Amino acid sequence: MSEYVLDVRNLTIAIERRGRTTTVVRDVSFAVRPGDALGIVGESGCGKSMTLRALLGILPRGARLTSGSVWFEGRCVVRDGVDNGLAALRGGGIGLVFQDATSALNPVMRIGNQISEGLRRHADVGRRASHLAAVDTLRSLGFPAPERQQRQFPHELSGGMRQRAMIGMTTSCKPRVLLCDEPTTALDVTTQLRVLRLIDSIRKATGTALVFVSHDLGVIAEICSQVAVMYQGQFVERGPTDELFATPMHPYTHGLLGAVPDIDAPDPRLFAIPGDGAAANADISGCPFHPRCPLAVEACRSGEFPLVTVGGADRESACIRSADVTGLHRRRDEGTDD
Amino acid sequence: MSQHAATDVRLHKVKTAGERRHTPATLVAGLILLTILVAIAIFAPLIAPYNPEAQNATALLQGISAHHWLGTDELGRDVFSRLLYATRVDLEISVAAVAASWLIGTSLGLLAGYAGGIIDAIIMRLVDFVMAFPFYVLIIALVFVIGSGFGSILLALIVVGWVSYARIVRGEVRVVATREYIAAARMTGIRGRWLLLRHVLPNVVVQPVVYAMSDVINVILAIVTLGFLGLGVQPPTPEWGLMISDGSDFLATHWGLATFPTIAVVITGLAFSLIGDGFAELVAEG
Amino acid sequence: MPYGSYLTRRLLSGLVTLFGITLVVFLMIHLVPGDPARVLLGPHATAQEIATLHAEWGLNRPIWIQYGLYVKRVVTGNLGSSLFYQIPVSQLIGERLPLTLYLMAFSAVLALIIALPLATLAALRRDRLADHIVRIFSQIGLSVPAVWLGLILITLISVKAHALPVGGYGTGAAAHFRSLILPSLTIALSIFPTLTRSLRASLIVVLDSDYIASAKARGLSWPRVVIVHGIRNAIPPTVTVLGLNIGYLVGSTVAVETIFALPGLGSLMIQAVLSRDFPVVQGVAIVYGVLVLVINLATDLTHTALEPRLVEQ
Repeated sequence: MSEYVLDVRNLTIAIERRGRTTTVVRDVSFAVRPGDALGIVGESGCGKSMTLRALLGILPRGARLTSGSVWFEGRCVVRDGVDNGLAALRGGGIGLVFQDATSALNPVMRIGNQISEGLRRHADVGRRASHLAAVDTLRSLGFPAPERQQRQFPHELSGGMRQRAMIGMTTSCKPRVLLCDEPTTALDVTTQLRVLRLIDSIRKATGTALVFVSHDLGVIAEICSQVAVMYQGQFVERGPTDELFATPMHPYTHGLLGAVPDIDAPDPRLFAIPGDGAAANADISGCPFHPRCPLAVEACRSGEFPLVTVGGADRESACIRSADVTGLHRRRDEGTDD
Repeated sequence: MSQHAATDVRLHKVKTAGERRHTPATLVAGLILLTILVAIAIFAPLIAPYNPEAQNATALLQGISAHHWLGTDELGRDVFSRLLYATRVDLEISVAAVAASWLIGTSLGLLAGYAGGIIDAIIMRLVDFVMAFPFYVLIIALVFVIGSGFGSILLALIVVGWVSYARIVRGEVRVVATREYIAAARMTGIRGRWLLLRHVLPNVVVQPVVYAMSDVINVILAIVTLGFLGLGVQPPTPEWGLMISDGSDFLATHWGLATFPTIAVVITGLAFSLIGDGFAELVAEG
Repeated sequence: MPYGSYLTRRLLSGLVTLFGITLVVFLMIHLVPGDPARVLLGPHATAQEIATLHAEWGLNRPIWIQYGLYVKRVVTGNLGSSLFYQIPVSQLIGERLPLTLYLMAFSAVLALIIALPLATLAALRRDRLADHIVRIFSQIGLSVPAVWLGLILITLISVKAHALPVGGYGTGAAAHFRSLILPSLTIALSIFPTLTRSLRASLIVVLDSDYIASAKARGLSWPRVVIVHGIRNAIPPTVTVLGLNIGYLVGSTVAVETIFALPGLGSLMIQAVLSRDFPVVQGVAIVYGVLVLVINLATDLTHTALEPRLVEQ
């Protein structure tokens, strides 16, 4: 029996649009144990949302899982890109908290009903019991007047409450793995913190494994013990959050961290990674980051760049010059332009 | 529909080779079909083997034969010839009615939308009053008042038909008039206003044209139904509705008499549908 | 309460339209050449009757006074007397209105029964064979004259198979129902294309939305996702489309009633037009106008009731 509740190996996703196929997620692997909190960080469009959606089989039109396998509690549910029981895991095995609660909640259904229908589906309770349980769920989420509020429609709630209602909808199905797709992006900072604490407390209380996707490094640092950095559909670095953020071992991670404005830094100028990453061009050979990389050499232009163990046992990086990344760090601190 | 006009202007120029506008197949198919129908209408006297009103007591209710390609009706008239001439009648009335409605409706809609205020209110109230009645009821009432026949139903169709166009066009103009970029255009001077016009006019003209294509079908059906009920074009003029009415008594035995004109209506409707769909596809901005 | 003020506004607007309806109908008589009294009373009227009408209706007074008197008459239910039947128009309409209403309701229900599954199939199998078939089928259905459809149905089902009555209304509820089946089917087949098109379009938009993905992601059964979450959200805009097409639905009853020899409002109108029975034409026109008004109001209110978000506006 595997210790991992979710084991993803070599996931590859491609999108077909107007006759052209583009690979948006390439060879992604990760695994989580019960109670783990793994963060996936990367820019918008790097493929992190797609990865989560693939695990629930809700990829958008035209997107397909082309290869890879997924194990859930030791059982193979996706073999070679083909569904082998993944659909049955939806809700009860794996749950997904969406980014925008406004669009992810049914606008014409009261939130109490949206929670209770999940309960009826997964917990085998009757209508009456499910409605009572829904009220309880709302109360535990911090709703001040759950009996009245469960009759409300999504548009009648504030952003934070909507997000909490959505979390409630997802957790009421009691999933063993909770995937979060940037659930706090649309919220203000104070509410963000509250929602993050809520998710964290759920994880601790139920032993659910957490896979948390975000472009916000601060948010990831708040609740994830492990983090993987994604660039253009591939993992480029992985490791414990504190260590990785303190000493990155990939130029992209270094760039990401450097781009976070630091009010105490000696150099007041904002740092941005040169080049344009948004144009997802999977036709680039070699390391996907090499066009923008300050450490790029000839060898980076071709070949495959999988994650390899560097430094400690738990650290991985895809960069062949990972040892030189610390040099970048020093150079920037001294105020020299790269 | 353009929500962000300023960015749209930029998008027009950035179309890559792969997204170059191609003429939709539906539009082409529809236009070809329509051309055939119009040709039939125009050249009916030349193509028709018989006089559509010529009765022949010796050849009543005959089936399809070499002499009469679609048979004869209960008065011995050649169905094929009648069909050709009826195409002319129905197409003439429907196209004229829709064209006039489009013209009047678009003009009044432009006026209402642009002028605003009391003029807008009056015109839109008028539209409301006409739209308060079911289409057929109003037409029939008008026909009752003016009398039946070719000219009357054309007039009735126009009186009832212009309102939809006015409403659509006025809506388009109002949408544009309240946009912020009007103020921006004014600030950039004359060039800005010209850009605005270039952007407003296409949208304002396109929507009613697309609607017109689906309107024609309804107008044709109205002409046919009125003809069937005896309130439209009067006999002996050949008209699809009259042919269906004449053939209705013989559906069990000679189903062709009522069905061939129906097929003609369906084909015509299909032609305009294809054009409408194709045109909408052509002007849709991705 | 926001809903209450919305209701009030709609009713007021409806009232204005109601006046407009009476105005249009009132003006009709003045468009007909000749003395209105003579037109209304027919060719057999005596000089005495004509004089009485002149006085009653104030036919020699300013037009707006005439209109005022007319409105007063209409409001009190006096729609004149039928030249053909020699009974009050209001009575005639009262006898025939229920049938037309049943016909309309039956047709609308049948149209929805046909349109819903077709639109759902087309939306789920978007751009595949089933979708194209549904759309072509709809396209053809749009162009087929209802009159021919009705006649064919009569020929095939009533005449050849003797399964349903050829025409007429029959006596008793069961006979009424049986005699309304084919006419309703005819009308339903005429209007289902527009409904299907609209429903398919809104379903496609709905099915692409995040809350459908969320429902799927929570493991809810596919039927529940499509129906409770999908169709439920796609219906409100279709209700509006149905409302807009009501004019058409109502109008098609005119021809269909005639074909099936149903003694309803529509066939009454045709008959009145052919026999130059002016008071009846006027009366029926007003009733139809009011009918459309009421139905539009009802669909508007239904739409608002189904869409909780709109009430705030």
